Amino acid sequence: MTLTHKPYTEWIQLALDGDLPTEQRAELDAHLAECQSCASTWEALARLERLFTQAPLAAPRPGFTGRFNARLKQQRSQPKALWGALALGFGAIGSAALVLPIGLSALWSLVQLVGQPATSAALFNSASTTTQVALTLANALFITGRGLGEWALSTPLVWLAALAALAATAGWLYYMRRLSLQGLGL
Amino acid sequence: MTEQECIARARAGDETAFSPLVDAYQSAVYNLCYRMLGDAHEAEDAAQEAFLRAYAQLRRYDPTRSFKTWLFSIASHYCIDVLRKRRLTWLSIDDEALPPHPALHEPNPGPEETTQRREQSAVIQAFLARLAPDDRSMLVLRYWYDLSYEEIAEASGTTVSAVKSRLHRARGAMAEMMAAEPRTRAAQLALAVEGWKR
Repeated sequence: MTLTHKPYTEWIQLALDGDLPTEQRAELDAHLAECQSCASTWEALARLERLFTQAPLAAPRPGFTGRFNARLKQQRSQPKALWGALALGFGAIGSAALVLPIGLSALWSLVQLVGQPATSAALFNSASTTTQVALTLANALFITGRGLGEWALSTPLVWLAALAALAATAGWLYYMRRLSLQGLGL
Repeated sequence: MTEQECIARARAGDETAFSPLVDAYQSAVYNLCYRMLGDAHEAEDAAQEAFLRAYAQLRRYDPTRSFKTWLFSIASHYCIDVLRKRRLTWLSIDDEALPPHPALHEPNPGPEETTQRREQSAVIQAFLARLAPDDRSMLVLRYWYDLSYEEIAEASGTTVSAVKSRLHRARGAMAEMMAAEPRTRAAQLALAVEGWKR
């Protein structure tokens, strides 16, 4: 079937819409009686027309208006949230704008201070002195520890006392463990 | 409260005054979206969005014109946008028809009639899905809402002659689909539905 049989195809559509003048309608009817192609077109379009006009109306789920109202409220609250986010963002940017120059200027001042010869010499001396003190303290601790060790090893009473203290501690720990296990019923 | 009173109060900022309008037009707008999009979930979303847009643009509404037509205009334009965005997948008429909508308005239908109507709905959706969005909206507005050419032109933002042209083209294309593929399930259903009506 072809639907290019002008002007009758157009007339068929107008006729289905009720817009075809009476005279042309009579001419169309006469043509349809003779032309199989246009008669098929008429039949197909009329069938389609019936199919559509009898088609049911789809309905939404119950509670459509309630869902709409909820969505409307949600949508109306969004601008507030947006303004809140914008305020927070601008606040953060503002804070950064304030803090950053202060921090940078402080850093710059420090760099300039360190860059001065007198300051750098003082800083170097201070660091050198601190290092020397730390090394001296470590050396003193090492000498003291070594002296005590040598003394303990050369005096049997000391290391025997140390061994006895160690054994007593181990025994105490063992006893406490047994007591705790008994208390738990194990 | 009349429709115009509801509109006036809603325009003045009374949200509750818009609810009766949603109640009154929910089925019409939902059906339009369902027939355009072919999916119940998408139709719900689109119908909700159409009402939200209508509420937001209420100040632009001209009270001397039909509120229903204005609402349909918003809904159909939104659906056309959705269809364009999803890059419409042309459904083959040989494919399984879209699932029939679970809630169709039928005044006390019998089981056989219910089945037939659901199949009929599936047939129409299968045919509509093959049309361009603009042509589809013409058919939906013409057949489900019985809008005049002038009203369709107003809702579509086009001229009456363009409406006629598109409507005729869309109808011709659908008739050709039915005639060209008579052995497909959709076409068989169409014939079955017609036979049932006789």
